[in-house]
Amino acid sequence: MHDGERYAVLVVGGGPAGMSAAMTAADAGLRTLLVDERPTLGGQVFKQPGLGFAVTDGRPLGAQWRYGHRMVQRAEGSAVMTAMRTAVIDVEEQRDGWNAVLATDDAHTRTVFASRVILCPGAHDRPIVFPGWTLPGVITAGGLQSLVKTQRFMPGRRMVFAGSGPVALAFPAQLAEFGADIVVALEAGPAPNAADVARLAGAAAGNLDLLIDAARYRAGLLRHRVPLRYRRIIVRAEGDRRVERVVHAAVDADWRPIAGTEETVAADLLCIGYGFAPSLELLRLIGAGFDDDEALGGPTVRRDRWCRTTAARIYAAGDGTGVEGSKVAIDEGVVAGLAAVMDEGSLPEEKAVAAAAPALRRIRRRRALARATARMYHVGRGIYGLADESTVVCRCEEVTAGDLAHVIATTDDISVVKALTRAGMGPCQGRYCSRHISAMIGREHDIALATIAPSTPRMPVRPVPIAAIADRAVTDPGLFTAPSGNP
Amino acid sequence: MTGYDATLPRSEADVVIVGGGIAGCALAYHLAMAGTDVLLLERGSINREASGTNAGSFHLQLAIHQLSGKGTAADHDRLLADARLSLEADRLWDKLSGELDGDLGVHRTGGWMVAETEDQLRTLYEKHELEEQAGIETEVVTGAALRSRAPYLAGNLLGATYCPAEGHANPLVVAPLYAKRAQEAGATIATGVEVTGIDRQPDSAGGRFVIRTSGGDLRAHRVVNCAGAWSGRLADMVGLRFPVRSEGLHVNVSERRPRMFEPMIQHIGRRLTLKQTEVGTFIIGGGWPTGTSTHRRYPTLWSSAAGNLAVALDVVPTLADVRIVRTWSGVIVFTDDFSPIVGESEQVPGFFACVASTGFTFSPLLARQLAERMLDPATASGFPQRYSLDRVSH
Amino acid sequence: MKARSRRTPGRLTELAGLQRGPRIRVTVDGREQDAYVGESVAAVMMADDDLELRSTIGGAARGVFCGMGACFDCLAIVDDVPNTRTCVTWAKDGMVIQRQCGAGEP
Ligand SMILES: Cc1cc2nc3c(=O)[nH]c(=O)nc-3n(C[C@H](O)[C@H](O)[C@H](O)COP(=O)(O)OP(=O)(O)OC[C@H]3O[C@@H](n4cnc5c(N)ncnc54)[C@H](O)[C@@H]3O)c2cc1C
Ligand SMILES: Cc1cc2nc3c(=O)[nH]c(=O)nc-3n(C[C@H](O)[C@H](O)[C@H](O)COP(=O)(O)OP(=O)(O)OC[C@H]3O[C@@H](n4cnc5c(N)ncnc54)[C@H](O)[C@@H]3O)c2cc1C
Ligand code: FES
Repeated sequence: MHDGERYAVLVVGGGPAGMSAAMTAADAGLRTLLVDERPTLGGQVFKQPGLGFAVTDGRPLGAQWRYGHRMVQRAEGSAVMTAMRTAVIDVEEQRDGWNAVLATDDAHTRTVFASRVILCPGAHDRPIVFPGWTLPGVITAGGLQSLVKTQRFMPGRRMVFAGSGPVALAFPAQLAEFGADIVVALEAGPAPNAADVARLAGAAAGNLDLLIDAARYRAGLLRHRVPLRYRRIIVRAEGDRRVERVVHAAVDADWRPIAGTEETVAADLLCIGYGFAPSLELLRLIGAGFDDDEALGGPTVRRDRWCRTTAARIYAAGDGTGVEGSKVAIDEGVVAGLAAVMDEGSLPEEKAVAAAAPALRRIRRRRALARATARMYHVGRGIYGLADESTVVCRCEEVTAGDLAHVIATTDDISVVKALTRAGMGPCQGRYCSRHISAMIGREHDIALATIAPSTPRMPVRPVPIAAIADRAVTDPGLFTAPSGNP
Repeated sequence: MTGYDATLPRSEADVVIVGGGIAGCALAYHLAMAGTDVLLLERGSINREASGTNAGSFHLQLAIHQLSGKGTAADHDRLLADARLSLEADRLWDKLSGELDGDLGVHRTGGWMVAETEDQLRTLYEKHELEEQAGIETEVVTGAALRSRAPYLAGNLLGATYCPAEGHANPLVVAPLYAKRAQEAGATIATGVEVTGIDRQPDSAGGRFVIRTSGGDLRAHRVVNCAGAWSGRLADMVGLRFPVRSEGLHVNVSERRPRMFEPMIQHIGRRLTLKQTEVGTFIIGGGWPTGTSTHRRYPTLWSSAAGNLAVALDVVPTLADVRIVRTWSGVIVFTDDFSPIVGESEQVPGFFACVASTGFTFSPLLARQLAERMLDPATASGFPQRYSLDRVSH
Repeated sequence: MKARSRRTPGRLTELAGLQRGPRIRVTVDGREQDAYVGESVAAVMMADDDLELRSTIGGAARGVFCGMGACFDCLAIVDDVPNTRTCVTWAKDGMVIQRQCGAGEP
């Protein structure tokens, strides 16, 4: 069943990965549809100002914005067809491709057919569960960045930034530029030492820009007098119906808080940036195979070197496959796009190989840098141990760690935990609690986090109003009757 | 347990129950309470198939529209007997939370069965007559009376039957609580163990059956097939044929909303069951099909969501802006002749079964009756011939 | 301990290369107020430093958390529809916004 719209390639996600994949496919002459639920192209890293805002001067918006803006303009000027404010909420396999259900503006849905689908759904901030994480005033780095970058809005007066990884420098530095009053920025990882610097230098070929960025961010923090404290982690947010105080502590190598090192600061905004976790819902729905790498955000989709997933005719690129940043996302988009074009029979293999070579080379280099920074940016297991008994783990259904522990003592099956506690049954569909619950199960039953199967993925991957789904044209299968021939 | 990798906790038992759904768990509970030596084998986790994925409704009105047969006198008798069974099920559910000492989420919200056409309305009246004969309290409400009693129903509906005893319980907790109480009473429950074969050894002293499982072999005097949608396969292992077929069913669930109405709502002529749960979500199903898949769980289908929700909107138009957050599926077993399969096989003595289609409502009752029969074949009343395990094998 | 700072919370005055969209009027919890095209409903609701966007069924306070439509914490009643994600719903002239309690009561 589809409404007659047919494409050679459907690209889900209009971030750097999706834009480059879609342009690659469309440039090769394939009928390509690019879908994104946000109002503007650009994805997370190249967030464009909200529709209605006007850019009066591109310079203060920064080099990243300008680069992204050019890419967005190029995509808009290409043969790629786009559907914005449109979420892909279901994909169903057909004999020679996939049907995808698109929901626009929460108001209507339509089904389109595509021979091949490239999934570039990006990532969201890695949730970390600690006492007080549900208080108003606790906001993810991505969320705060959206408000500031696209709407010029910054809640709160005094902010604590707590995080780790490259963003732990980038976010506070950016926010400070916009006038944020940052009391302290906490990095759970160690300060770079001489060996790290040597390794970084070794890996720097082709990655110079990233190193320069890092140096610039550090200088920015200094300039704004933001104290950056390494090896400290958020422990607790406190306050009456909003954040009033933030408690942090020193951590050991595995990010476990060290007793007696707690400090409390007054703040009304706590920005959390412990890296990202890939958006997996569509990849799970199609039954793709996964591996697990905490440094890349947890589960990572299994792909061949052409970005083909284990599901027929489905490719994946960018942060949604394991968080590796925008440069890798762009290059992976090119590779996935070329693969789709080749697999459609529109490009001979030798040509595809040659065309993909530069992108593949750049991706290899980025990965070398990632290995070099692994010591600094590894994610400690301590993030799964911050909650106490009464901490809400499932935000939607308000299920506490204590409620969960009770059930987890009797089962290692996350679906059973879900059924008996309702954790993961709310509208976010477990996006923000399931990893933590899996970690609790792993700890209780002494099994590796990576081997714990997630609960069954189900459509729609975004909530959709009944009126937008209902379709009187679908025929009722009728009353239940015995098959003829039987008594 | 997540895989079929568990080992057997014991190598023999008087009664082995295959299947940890509501039927198997309820049976284990009743047998263990009476001191019987019971071992329940479940290949996955307890309550993960039909019993934990159903809509949790008490279907006490006659499902004449769905399970009507061909309108013969035999059909009439069967429906009447089913209606009487409903009454007993009703009484059982009344006491079940108390008996199992836990909150099963039992709520008697009442239930509507609506009609859109003259034909359907006529069926409602016929159904009501049968229900009266059987002693089930129902009434047919039409016109202005219906509008004022159920303003949330669409204005163009011609009428509806109301059954005050209908309602629901929480399917996520019932079978697990039965299982817990069974264990406390001495039953052994092994999860992650799949039964792969059953050998008959009629003359052996150690038990009439050798049960082959993924965790090793064991012996038993009696085996009970509580394998729901897979009961046909279990029957096959001892050479019986069950008149069953399984179908994947699609269910939709919404976000929470403030209470809009209490009763559950069904449709006499179209596939719909609809209710608002205690937590405020709407559960909307009614038997729309799923796809098939090589994965174990049947995939839900967009077309089923679209069709099912169109019926829901036709019946309750104010649901329009309520958002669906998720769909799920479960596998149900249908018997081709609309009767459950309960009792002991004549052809394979010692082999029992407890399999029903509207099993959330009825399996607790049927399991209790089967336990009584197994405990004391002489005094407990037998099951009607139409429940027989041998009815198509003969 | 009190959070003191030079900053006034809310709309930034230093717009750094951007210009706000046209001014519009919306109603928040019965009070009319200004908003700008391009702003999310969440930003409009937080404009006078009240970060609590709703209270849950359990009575807890919640605000914007993910800011990208993924966590469903920023829910409010927007033009009569409860549970609307305010961080990805854009302000419109005449919009009626209410903080919600529980499953969607005002
Ligand atoms: C919140 C956040 C902020 C970040 N900020 C920075 C930064 O400042 N600097 C930096 O270098 N890196 C940043 N990153 C990392 C950055 O995301 C990546 O480097 C890069 O954006 C990845 O590109 P992508 O195309 O894979 O994904 P994204 O850029 O995340 O794009 C994915 C797109 O897919 C869309 N989408 C997802 N699912 C669906 C669906 N079902 N239907 C329709 N559309 C869908 C999303 O709306 C999104 O626009 C950030 C990441 C996140 C999550
Ligand atoms: C979507 C849906 C909605 C429904 N709605 C309702 C409703 O509202 N009201 C109502 O009354 N009924 C409803 N039903 C029907 C009801 O759910 C079932 O009739 C009832 O749950 C059957 O229980 P059971 O214990 O017989 O089967 P199941 O719960 O399916 O249990 C059978 C168990 O046997 C196990 N098993 C199978 N083979 C083997 C093996 N070889 N070895 C070991 N274990 C094995 C399975 O893993 C399973 O756990 C619905 C069903 C579905 C699917
Ligand atoms: S803040 Fe997460 S959905 Fe709006």
